Amino acid sequence: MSNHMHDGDILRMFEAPGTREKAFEAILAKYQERLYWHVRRLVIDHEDANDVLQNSLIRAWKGLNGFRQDAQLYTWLYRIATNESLSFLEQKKRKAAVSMDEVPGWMTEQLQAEEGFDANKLEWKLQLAIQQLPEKQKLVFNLRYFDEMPYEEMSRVLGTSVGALKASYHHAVKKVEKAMLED
Amino acid sequence: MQEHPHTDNETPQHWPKGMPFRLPADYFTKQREHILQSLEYEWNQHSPESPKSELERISPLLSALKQRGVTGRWNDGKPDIQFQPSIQDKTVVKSEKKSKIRSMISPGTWMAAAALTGLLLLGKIILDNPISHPNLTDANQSVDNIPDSFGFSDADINAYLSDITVFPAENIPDTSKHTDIEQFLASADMLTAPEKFTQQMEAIPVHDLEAYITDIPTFND
Repeated sequence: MSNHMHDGDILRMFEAPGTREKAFEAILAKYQERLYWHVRRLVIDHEDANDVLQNSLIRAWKGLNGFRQDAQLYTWLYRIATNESLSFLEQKKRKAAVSMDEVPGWMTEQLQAEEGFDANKLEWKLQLAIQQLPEKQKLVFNLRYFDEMPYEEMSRVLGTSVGALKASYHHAVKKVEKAMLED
Repeated sequence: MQEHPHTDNETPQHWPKGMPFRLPADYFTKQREHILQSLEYEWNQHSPESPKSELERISPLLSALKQRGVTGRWNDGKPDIQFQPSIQDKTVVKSEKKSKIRSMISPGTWMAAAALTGLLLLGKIILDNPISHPNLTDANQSVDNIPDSFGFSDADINAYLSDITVFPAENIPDTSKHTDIEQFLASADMLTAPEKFTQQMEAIPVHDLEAYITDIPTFND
């Protein structure tokens, strides 16, 4: 983390035509990994996460010209990756003709198909419980629990009020807790 | 990401934070290279080469062309370029034959312009002289006479309108169901007083909380 450049420095580099590529390389070095995990937790499958992340980063490159300096780079990148992930999941659900009620079961099946899946391990149990959450609560839980994102930042990523995010997270934790106890 | 991790007092401490998912070896390095390669074309598009560096880059080719000469033709849909053995410099004499200057505007264009002008003039004439249809005049008159046919005068209508009681704004019931929850959550401090926060959250009926969360608009809605 400490080796990474500050967002402000990266954006200043991007403004100079000669150092644009270097600026984007710095963005990749700083955010690629955490964006990948954010996407992977949502779409589950590695190949899907790879495609979604690649599209997100290319979209970010194209949008960096119009990026407003008053917004934070990392919330903007998370927003792009979240949007891409949700759009991807929508398309995938449509192709598989999955109804809203069937989504948790469908996501659970994808999780169970993962290499090394072991329902007795706590990590997998937690992931299984998260898949039972509605989409919005799942997003809030992942960003808060795994990415440790402050509510104010999360509010900018998801376009939701801080109060609503606190309620969603509280509710999600209760549901996950209950699901893990049941198993 | 901010450098200050948030300790979550709400989340059970024994829950794992690690990811159980597997990744191919060196995935991030390979993916980074792949993305950078994919973007190389874009970069070339967005960062045009300066004339000086372009000239420097193609100068060997230009030099070869000058010395050897190049001919090209299409062969089975593909360019067939051949370098000729050295050619002699030739002096090109400009032709002194004068060309006849012809108008670039064809007769068809003139005709179209004339037709368009005619249409515009016709439109102006129609607009300047609106058609008065007897039926339209009758209809306007009958509309003017509606109050009379019902037996209402202007004074009656004014009196009726002034008697209408306007519902006071402060008496309009507040249809917002979740104001209390919103106010509480906006001011709640779950980091410094997690127990109090949890107690207050527990006091909210689950049904109300579910309804509140479901109503929350997000960018995806």
